[in-house]
Amino acid sequence: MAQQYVVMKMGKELYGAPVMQVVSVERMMDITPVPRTLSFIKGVVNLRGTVTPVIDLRERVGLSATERLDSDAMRIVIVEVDTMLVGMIVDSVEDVVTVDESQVSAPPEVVGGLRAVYLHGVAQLDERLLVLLNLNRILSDVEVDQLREVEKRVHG
Amino acid sequence: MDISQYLDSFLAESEDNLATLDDLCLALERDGASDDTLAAMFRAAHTLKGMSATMGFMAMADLTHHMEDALGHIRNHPTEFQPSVVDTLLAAIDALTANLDQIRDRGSEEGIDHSAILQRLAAVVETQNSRSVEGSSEAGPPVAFRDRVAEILRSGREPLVIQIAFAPECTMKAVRLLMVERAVESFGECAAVYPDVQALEADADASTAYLAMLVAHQDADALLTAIREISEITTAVVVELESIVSASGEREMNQARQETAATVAVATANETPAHHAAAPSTGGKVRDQTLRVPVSRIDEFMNVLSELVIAKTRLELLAQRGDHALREVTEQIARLTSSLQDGVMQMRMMPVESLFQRFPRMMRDLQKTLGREFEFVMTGLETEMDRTVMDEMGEALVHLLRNAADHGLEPPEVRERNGKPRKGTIRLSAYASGGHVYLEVADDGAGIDRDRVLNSAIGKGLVDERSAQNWTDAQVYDLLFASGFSTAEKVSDISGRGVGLDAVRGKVESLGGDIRVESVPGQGTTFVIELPLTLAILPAMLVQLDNYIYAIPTGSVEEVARLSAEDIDSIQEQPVYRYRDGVVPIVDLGDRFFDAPCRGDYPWNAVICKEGKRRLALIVDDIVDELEIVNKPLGRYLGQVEMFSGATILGDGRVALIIDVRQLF
Repeated sequence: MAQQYVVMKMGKELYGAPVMQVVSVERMMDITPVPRTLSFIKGVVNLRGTVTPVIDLRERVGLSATERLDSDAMRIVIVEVDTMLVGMIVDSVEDVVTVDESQVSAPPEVVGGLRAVYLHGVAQLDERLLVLLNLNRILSDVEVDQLREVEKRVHG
Repeated sequence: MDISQYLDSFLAESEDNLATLDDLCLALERDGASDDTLAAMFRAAHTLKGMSATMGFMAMADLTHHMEDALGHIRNHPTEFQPSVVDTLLAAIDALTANLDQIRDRGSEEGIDHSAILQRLAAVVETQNSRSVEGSSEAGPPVAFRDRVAEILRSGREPLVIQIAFAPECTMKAVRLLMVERAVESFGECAAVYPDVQALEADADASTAYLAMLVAHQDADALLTAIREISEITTAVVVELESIVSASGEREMNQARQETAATVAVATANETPAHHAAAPSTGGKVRDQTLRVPVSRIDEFMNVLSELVIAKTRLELLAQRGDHALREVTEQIARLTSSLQDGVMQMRMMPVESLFQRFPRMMRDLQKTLGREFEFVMTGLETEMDRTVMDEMGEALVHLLRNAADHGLEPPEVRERNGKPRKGTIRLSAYASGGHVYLEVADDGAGIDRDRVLNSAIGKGLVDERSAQNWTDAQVYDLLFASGFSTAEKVSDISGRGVGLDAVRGKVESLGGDIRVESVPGQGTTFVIELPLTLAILPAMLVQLDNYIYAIPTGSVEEVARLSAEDIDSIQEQPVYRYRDGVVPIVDLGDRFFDAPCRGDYPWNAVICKEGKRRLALIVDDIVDELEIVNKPLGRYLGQVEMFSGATILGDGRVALIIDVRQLF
């Protein structure tokens, strides 16, 4: 079965988010930081009247938060997971592609800093690899709670 | 027919009808088998039956049908009415509620078995039947009808009693009777009918019917002619009054006052025969027309509206630079926006009745389980409250009411020994005053025993013995809300489970409200909950920190101050502010939020916040404004974030977090 993915670029790598879960792609906007929360949670934005949390996908997937070269290309990809809206900051949004399930192979144990459980798989796209994200897992609030606990223990 | 799209409204309406039946059962128990109550029960049960049958939920329709049978027997034999029947009816309502719950959860009635309750209902019908001695209508109208006639006579009026007979081949007698009622309507009031339309529907063997009309007697001939013109009515004759009243004899004359008539007296003050005809499906009273709108739709509307408010604010800024015409239009838009806003807020308000309606049943059951005796009185049912606030308050009220019944009131014997009426009173009231809604739970029990509370608190190590001696009563009562505190001598199923009043206080405070307790020894205890009218819009103070704006709900703010060096002291190296006759800890918000203190050169901008009796001085970069803000949830993803209760969108479209002052202590 074929599925469509929104191709997002971070650094040199390509990540795919299922089109079904993507609500919209926004230009960067004013982000209000939320103090004392996980570092990859950048804050909240006003998404047409709804207060929506925004995370840095780069940090969430464990890429180093290196200098972004072209900040004008940066986008916030708004996804809906489990009736919950979350925005993900990415370096740029490239394209929408159709990936057949047969093209998808199981993810290697670690891709970048991202554990395999956060991935749906890896697909070959032309000459490049497209890492397909498991958004439900990445954005699960339970997961976030656990991370928060860990962070608390570390920082006291 | 695809019925699934009607499921939601079926569920909602059936819930309403069950709640109505529940209420009416209690009325039945309290006031006896009155016509009005039974008629209203019939209407609710009938609607329920019709709707569930249409939806194909046959178990439910069948049970409702048998419930109607039981109701029918109660109505036809009012003198046999036993309050214990109410238990059976309530059990049937419970079974229907469970049935409805399953339909909601699983979409089917699979595995539902009502046989036990059906048997109980059948038993009601049988006992009433076996006791019944005067069922047949062939020997003239029944006692109840005669009583009604006698009653009219006593009031100084002379009714015209008409006997009509249906043709033997008449199959739709109820319809004919309705036509008769319509026909006589123009002549005058119809004070009593026997049998009434519903009874006639059930009883195919009835061949005659009686009407008691309040009309001028010279109209009698015209009236009879009008009736005879209706097809399948064979005769219509005037019945001598003496034959009715004397036949019923002295006994009825005396009993008429105490007994409630079973024959439906159609013409009460607000119910005319025409209304009665429509009654089975629409209810007897004229109600406001209402629309059912999903709450989520109103919330969406509210969201759009708050965006409109923001856009309007921007437009106002632009218009200042524009010409006169633009300014005029902008002003008009501003006015329209604010009336729209008022309108939506109004839509979110609901009378507390919808919250309170389940309590009478609960309190009735409590009397039985706890062995307490009390009246349960509710007032201010029409008081309106924001729906979200109300939804949150349900559990807290349940707790306070149980508490009042279990701990507040003394056992009946103790009350009698203390010279109080055996029956206590528990009062639940609601009223609005000055931007707040108040909910009160009051009992006329023993009041709070100061010493017992203190001893218990000392025993639990909540207070130390010496410092507690000079405490005021209010301070002592406040201990009841302390976490893990319960003075119940024996922990019962009902309350005193230790999750008690501290949970109630937590809930109330999380809604921006306040709870306090008043008590007079020997006279009773009153819990007073004060809640904001709405949660969606609240007045707030905007403060600036770094480049960001934060909102502090005005309810938490005591005052704003500029602190200079001489206002500041230090206790254990922590800065404190000398305020009134004490000291207030200083919290630097920049420090707290970003590890970047905003205390620089004096003076410091401080917001003195209060929470209960505690105070804090929050140091911020700047104090910007005070205005009404729209409270928006942060959502589940950030749900556990401490220190913030929500966010709002400012006039320039940016988001400002709302500080939850309680979390800063």
